[in-house]
Amino acid sequence: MRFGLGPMTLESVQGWRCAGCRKPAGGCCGRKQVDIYEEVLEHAVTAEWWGFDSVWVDERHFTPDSFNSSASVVAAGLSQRTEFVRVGMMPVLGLVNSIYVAEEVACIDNINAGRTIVAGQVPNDETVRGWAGSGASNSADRIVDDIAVLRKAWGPNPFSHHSEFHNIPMNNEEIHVEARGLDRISVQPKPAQLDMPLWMCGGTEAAEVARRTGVPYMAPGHLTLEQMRPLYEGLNPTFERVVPLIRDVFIAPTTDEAQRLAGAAIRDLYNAQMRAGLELSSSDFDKLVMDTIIIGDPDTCIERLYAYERELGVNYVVARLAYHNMHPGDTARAIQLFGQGVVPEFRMFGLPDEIRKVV
Amino acid sequence: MGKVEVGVGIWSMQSTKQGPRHFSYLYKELMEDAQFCDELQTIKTIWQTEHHFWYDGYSPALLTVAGGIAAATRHIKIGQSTMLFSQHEALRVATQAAVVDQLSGGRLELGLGLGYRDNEFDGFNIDRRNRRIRFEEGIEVLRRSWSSDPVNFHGKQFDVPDISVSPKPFQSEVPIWVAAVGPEPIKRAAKLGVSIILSDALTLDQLSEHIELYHKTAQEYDVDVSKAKMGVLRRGWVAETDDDAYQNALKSLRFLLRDQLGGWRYLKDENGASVGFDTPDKLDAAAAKLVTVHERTIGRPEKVTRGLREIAATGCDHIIFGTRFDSLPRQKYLRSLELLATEVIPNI
Repeated sequence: MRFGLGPMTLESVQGWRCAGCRKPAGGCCGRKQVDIYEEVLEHAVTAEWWGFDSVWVDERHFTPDSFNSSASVVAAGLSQRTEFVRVGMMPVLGLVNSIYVAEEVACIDNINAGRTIVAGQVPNDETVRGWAGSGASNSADRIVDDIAVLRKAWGPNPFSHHSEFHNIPMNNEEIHVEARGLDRISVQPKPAQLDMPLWMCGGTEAAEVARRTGVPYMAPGHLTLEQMRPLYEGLNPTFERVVPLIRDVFIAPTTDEAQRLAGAAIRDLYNAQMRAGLELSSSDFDKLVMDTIIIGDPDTCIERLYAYERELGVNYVVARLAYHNMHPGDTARAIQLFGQGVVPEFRMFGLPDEIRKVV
Repeated sequence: MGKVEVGVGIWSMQSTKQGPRHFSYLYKELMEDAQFCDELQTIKTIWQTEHHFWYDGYSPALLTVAGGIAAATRHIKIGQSTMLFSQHEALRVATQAAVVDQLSGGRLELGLGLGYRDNEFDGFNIDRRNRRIRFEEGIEVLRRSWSSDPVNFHGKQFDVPDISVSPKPFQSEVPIWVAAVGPEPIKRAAKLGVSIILSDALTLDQLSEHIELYHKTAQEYDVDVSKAKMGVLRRGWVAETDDDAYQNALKSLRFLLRDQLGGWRYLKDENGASVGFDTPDKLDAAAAKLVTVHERTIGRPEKVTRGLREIAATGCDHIIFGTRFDSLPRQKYLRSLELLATEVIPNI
């Protein structure tokens, strides 16, 4: 199994208390949005050091909590700060002409010399409403069409693409002022990678797109095992195929400490997301911890992750360990402990028990 | 003479026929150059430039790449000279610019241009004839997106409902620069009260006239332009001696002006008509004329200082020192930047 850190969301909810803040009571450090961006870059470097395979950045639009609205921009920053880990980015598809996304990803893939993974998302209804003037749609047909354009744009040949959703290039000979029109275009530069890894992330709609396009499907952090079971079914994972999953995780040397450090912070995060419209399987936080969130010591994390491997065939976990209402030092320690205490269990086949037990 | 700032650029990330490079190599160099300039401190801004679907990979996604530059640097401002704004979705530019501004801690200088190549508009399925209205409406979408109120803009080209863009930029007001090529664009920029980037093809006398026109128009329409900057792109190169500088830069400058800009029909003849490869004599003449304009900022530090002082005397307060030439030895390029930062800028 491989592991990523994230997805980084970079939200900042006014009134959030800063769990774990070292400042005296009443003098909370009051981190600003700008500080969170720098922390995320530093967390990525920490994850790279402690052996993660990838770092991820999420994207949403028009949220009240200043959730990151450009996976591209932050992915470029992550690419610059890291050297070896893959950079996973989760652009919302279906909003604008896919050429924009194709060009951005190609540039990012050159900044990081071929380390990009793209996990497209299906926009929610509110996002589509905001982008309606740009021709946005969250129909599966639209997202499938976007993926078709991305694949052509990243491919080696000049292309055209005329569909219900795209008209590339516009046939506009009669209005050309100076230059000769072309019937094909070539997106330049091309990505560094020959085949750009392209996944889909989200609920039922994303799984359907994954099925239709043959790309790997990655479930988001808030879905339960029972909710995910039908989504992963029928994707026919082969032995070589990546089967990714996002989980909200927090780890500490003991489960009590993990709860003490992160319990309130993650609860606040979920409450904020529910206020923003996220539908969860339960508003009972303790039940959510049981069903979706993993908070605990290394053994607890390992046990829960084995269940996903066993039940869904998951072999790539993107673990969100960074919650921006927590103290960044606690997050860095969690990243280190996950790298030392959990990742080896899944990656180091044949790890002797005597070494496994060393704390 | 007022205080003049100097930025450098313009990073286009081209892998040309003469200097083919892996794009990862070019982007790695960009980040190293950005850090180099950041540490030199006297260079205020690093400027990027944009085109689409061009054979040599000319950089197409400026705000995305700006995210990388922001992560690589601490102090230097990040500008675009220019983003071809009419070819973009304004709301997307607003959201991405806000994130760049947050990621950089408020160092974005958003430079916008109209765009002119037909094939670029075609690729994005945008009617070139709408470029001006897209530009003007787009500026309004930006401003509304960054305000605390919902956007709620319903124009001919852009229609954005009552949504709130989030996050907002770090700066309370992201500086907007507009490429102003000719009297009418200068007047439009003055009415908007934005900073301008003047063409690299202007002589000193023309620069003075254009800046005067900007201020006259602003006064006429009672626009506060106290924060607006008068920028100009000027190609240049610094070396220990004039001969070294000519040897390094002139050949590449000629290639840039004749072959690159000629391919885009960017240059004009004496009558103001665009010239390209189909009129090679006129193209040669236009390129040669421009070489003489830029030759004044190619040379030893004292000479370049003098050349930049002449530009500052026209009323320009930001000079984009265009020192990115194709296929030049990297060590000489870095030395040129170092001389610019340490021996030219402090003496302007």
